[in-house]
Amino acid sequence: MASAAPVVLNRRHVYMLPTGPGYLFGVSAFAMLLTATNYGNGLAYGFCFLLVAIAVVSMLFTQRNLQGLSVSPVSAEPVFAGEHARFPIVISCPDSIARLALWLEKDSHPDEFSVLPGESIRRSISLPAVKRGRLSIPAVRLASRYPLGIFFAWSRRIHMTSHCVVFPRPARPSPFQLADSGGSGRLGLAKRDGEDFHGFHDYQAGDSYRHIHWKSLPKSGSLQVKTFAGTQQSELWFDLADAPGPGLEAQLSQLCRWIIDAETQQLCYGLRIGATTVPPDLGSAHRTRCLTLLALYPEKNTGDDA
Amino acid sequence: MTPLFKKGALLLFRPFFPQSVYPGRDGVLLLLIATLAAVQLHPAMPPWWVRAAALGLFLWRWGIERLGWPVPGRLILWTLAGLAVAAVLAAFHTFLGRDAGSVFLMLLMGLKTLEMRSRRDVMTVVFLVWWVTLTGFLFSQSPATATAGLISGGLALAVLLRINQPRSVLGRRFTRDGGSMLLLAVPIMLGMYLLFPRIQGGLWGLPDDALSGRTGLTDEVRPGSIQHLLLNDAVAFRVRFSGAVPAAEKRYWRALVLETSDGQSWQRGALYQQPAALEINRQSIPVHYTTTFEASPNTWLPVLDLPATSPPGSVARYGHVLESKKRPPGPLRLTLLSYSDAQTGALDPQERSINQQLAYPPTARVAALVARWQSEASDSSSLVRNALRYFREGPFFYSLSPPMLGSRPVDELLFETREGYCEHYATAFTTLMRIAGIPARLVVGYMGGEINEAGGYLVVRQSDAHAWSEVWIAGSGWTRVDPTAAIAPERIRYGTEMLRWIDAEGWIIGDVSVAALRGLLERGHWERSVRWLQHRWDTVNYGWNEWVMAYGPARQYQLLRTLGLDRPSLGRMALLLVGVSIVLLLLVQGLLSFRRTTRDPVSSAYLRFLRRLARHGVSKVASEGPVDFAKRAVRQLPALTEPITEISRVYVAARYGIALPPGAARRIRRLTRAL
Repeated sequence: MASAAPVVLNRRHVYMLPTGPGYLFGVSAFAMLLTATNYGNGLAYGFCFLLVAIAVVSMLFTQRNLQGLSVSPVSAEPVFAGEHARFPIVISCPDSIARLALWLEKDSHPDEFSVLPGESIRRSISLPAVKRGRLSIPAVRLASRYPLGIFFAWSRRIHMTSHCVVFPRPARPSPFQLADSGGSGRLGLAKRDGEDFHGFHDYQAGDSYRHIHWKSLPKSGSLQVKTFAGTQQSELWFDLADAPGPGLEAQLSQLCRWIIDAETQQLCYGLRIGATTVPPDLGSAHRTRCLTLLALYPEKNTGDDA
Repeated sequence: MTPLFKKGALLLFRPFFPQSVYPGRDGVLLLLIATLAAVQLHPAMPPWWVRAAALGLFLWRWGIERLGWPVPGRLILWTLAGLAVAAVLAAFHTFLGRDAGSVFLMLLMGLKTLEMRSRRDVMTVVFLVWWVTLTGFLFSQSPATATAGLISGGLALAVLLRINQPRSVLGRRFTRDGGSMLLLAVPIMLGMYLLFPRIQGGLWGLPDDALSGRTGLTDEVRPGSIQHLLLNDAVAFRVRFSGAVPAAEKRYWRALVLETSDGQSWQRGALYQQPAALEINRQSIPVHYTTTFEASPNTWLPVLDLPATSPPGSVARYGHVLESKKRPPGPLRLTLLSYSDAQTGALDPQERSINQQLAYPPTARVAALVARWQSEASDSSSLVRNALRYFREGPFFYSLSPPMLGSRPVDELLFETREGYCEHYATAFTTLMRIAGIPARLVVGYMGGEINEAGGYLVVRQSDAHAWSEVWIAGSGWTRVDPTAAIAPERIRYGTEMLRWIDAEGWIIGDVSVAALRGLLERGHWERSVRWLQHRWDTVNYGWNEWVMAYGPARQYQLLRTLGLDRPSLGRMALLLVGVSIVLLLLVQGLLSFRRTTRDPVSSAYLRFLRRLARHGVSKVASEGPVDFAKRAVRQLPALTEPITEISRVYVAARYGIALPPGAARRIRRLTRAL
């Protein structure tokens, strides 16, 4: 969640080896040297040494292409188990040397990319999210074979601190029976009486988009949200104990499904899970809060506040 | 996931290349041009079908690239490869050696070009282009070849750069990185070039084809044999004197001493086989000089009269001449010492008798002429003077196209044709001296040479070839007598080129007034400018010879001596090479790691905002985050609430947000300006 300090690659972090064609070049240059020696041919010596010198200089260029890059993670969006978690990272070039033809390990778009002087580029690391919980950003490597392709430099694994919350895998859609509220009384609902308009307040993250007063936007320049008094909206209560399914994981999956469906149907819902109770509400912040509680259950300390 | 990161069992990183990736078309088309340039580098030596095959494969690949022809299948490729092998074997009966090897490499390059499917294939062809370029240097090492080689090699390098560069980044950066790599490579290359231990002779013996097609003097002289050389402007050797350059009429370069004659031609005889010493009695003026001999299949080494030492690699032969033990394929550079006007030692009976031998008795009128000289002379030296006077006074002509001489050449020259050049007069004079009983021999070499003002050295060309006589006179030993000097002093003073000018004017050589000669010498401005340019160009060639073609172990030792290392061992040389390379590498690395730190525009805009607020008396503490700082700043400067809040919001969004908002830096800058 929290972005951590950027990792700057220094000389000790960059390793290098010849590539396959690089070894071929080495053998070829040695044979050239033997030829030059055998014929005592000054021009052949010169040509051979020029090629070797260029290769050696290209080695320094290859190393320089990685050295000095700074990599920092950016908060990752939560995903559902079974999806691919994407950890966005920002790779920036702090100096006047362009870093060209870079490759990132576990890149979500495996392709070459370049960072020009002073620029920052955003890539994302992709990792399959297998189970719910908190997924850490994997340590990845950067690599490049710029400029001649005869040397290949790679960084040591870059360890960053960034997490991605993995929500439980949603269960198959099973409608929560709105009419059938009697059972436990918890999965119940109250009739919506009316919507008495009460006033406006400033938009806050998590407010339902339905309540945004779009008409006032051009005039005031900020988003206003309608509030309603005397809400006797129907409320859904989701409780872990009510969720069917053998085992905790299946129950959490079911809760996850209900939350998703309630949100799409714009039904107010509250959540009781373990000792934590989230009062009924709507909106993406509420949804995220509830799903995060599911993801991290039975972790106690998270989600309690806020 | 990423093709580049395939897990390997190795502990070390195992790079993985996406084989399917075929580099962009422009890189491949450039490569095709490079292959063609490399083939063009080779002289017309390869059999015609090699060029035809190379061109055919080139066009085929061009069709694949431009017209979308299919890449030929394995069957076709193997068939073509088999054909290539068979053709090389049929033409050369081997794959080894310069000629067969280079043809084979050219065909290999063509076939590999045809077969390219991946980036790795393209890189292999690049290496093959470099190989074909290198083999081209085995045929010629001239500056022109070097330039052509740099072009084909450079094109191949550009291909390598191009295919390893992201498609999106092009243009200036491409040339800049390539150029700076070349520039930084040059000092390292020079270090390796100068310090890499050179070996005398090849590793496994030179193939026979290393030397061919170079002519010069021949070791058998008959009247007319030098003639083809007189029109040959090729450089024979160049000399740099450590002191003053000797006067033109003292610059006799002896190469061969011929003492055996069948009456027609002159050759080296039994004395050549015997060991010889460079014995000199009175050492007058020492002349130290360094000669760079052009590549030649001949072993003899023209040296200034008379050499006193034989440098390593050379051996002294009868008659104060030097011969190289083994002629390198390229130029040979020797440091030499000669004494001008020196005298040789005594004459042993065998040498005397050989140098008095006549192929057949003289004709009656020749015998009568010699008898007359003898009667007028008191000793050998006055007889020689009488003979020279005869040549000078009698109507004899110097001509570059004299009539052919028959079976009695001396008789015919003296009494019938009276026309000829150095060879005619030198052979006749030598024969005449032997008839008179004076030991005499024929010396062949070069005479004069042209001083290159630009480079401060002397150029001797094949056209400076000359022949003269040597007679043995008691008291002074072998003494040089040049009958040509008596007949055509211009030849001696101004060189053969002047003779050609005189000839072109239609004048008679030996009979030109001093004024007319001066007129010829002071020709128009144009000629002098041309001459100046020629000298400049020859300086380039000389430098090239010295540092590229003749740079061998001897020259390297000399260089190391000036660096304070006298005849270092191979180990020490290797150490020096490694040391210098490391120092150069560190220097290059230092140059490369020089970089300007540039912040990202958002940060620098935010820093400007902080500086601006500091002027208002609110400074950010290092431990303070941007949000906290904004809150504090607003409390202290309530009038600026709006811009401060907005700047912080944009900055935080840009720094920590999910997506980089476009124009964030610009917005911060604009708001800061209002503060």
